[in-house]
Amino acid sequence: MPRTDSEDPDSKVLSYGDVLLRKSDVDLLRGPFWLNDQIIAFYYEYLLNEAHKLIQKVTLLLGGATTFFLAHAGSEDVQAMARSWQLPSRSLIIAAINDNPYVDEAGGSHWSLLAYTRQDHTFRHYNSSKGLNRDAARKGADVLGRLLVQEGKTPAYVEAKTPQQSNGNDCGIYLLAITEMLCNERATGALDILDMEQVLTELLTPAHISRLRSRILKLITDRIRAGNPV
Amino acid sequence: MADSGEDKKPDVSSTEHLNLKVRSQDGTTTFFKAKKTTKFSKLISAFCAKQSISEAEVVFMFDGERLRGEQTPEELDMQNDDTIDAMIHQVGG
Repeated sequence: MPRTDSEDPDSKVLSYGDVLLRKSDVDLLRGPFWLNDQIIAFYYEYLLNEAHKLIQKVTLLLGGATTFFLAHAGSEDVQAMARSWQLPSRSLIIAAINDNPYVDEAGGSHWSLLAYTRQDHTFRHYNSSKGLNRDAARKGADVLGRLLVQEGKTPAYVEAKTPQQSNGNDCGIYLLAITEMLCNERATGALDILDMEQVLTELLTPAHISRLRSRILKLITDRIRAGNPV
Repeated sequence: MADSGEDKKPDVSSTEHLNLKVRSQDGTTTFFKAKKTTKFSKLISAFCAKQSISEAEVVFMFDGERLRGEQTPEELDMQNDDTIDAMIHQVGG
């Protein structure tokens, strides 16, 4: 199919792994806009397929669409979906949480992150806007927790201390930044989950967030320029 | 490349065709008959046309993975009556 250079927001601009990005998706990174699950899916693919190949087997990153499906599907469907995830071999599982309560329309207003660490059998909810998403994160932990029972116990759940966003549009970038920091820690060997709060407090600054937005845009435009067939 | 309407040739061996379901998040299911070698892009267009939605608004998932338009049921080892989930996009700030 020939590359389309049209201004059509629906035009396909990059096929990357399992993700197909359209112009309208990429444009979300060009300003202070809310992110959608497409951009999250892109960055998750990038993290495990390029940046952190070495932890691919022990880390599972679940994008917004998958997590949303989990929250609204019946338990049989959840089991079927999880079959390909090789959960027992994962020491770090991260799920992008969205608060969209509607199953039949696009929506949502906030992204946060739910991380499971096998070493302490615990879910941590990293939330850049405290108070939001609590129900959605709990729900995600319930559904995933049922798949992760160890010695009869479902994982514990805690709200993790997280730097707070100072605006109403960067929660998606916080989600991606925290995902990356958890992957970085995992990749260095010991993921000291308690140290993570310290790491986040030091590194997760508004400047870091703004740089990450530009960096993801560049990752995408570089790949578009490199001529990935759509 | 083999390419034709999904349900026009009853004489073709049934093993070459699959009945697939596309399930929307609101619980409605749409049925499709597709050749194992037909690219999903065709099924996706048909689904979106039926539902009057833009292809940019949905992502299709099978067994926890996103479907790509250039893939075929054969490549993903799909079986008769398998279900594909259509997920509408989510946003947040």
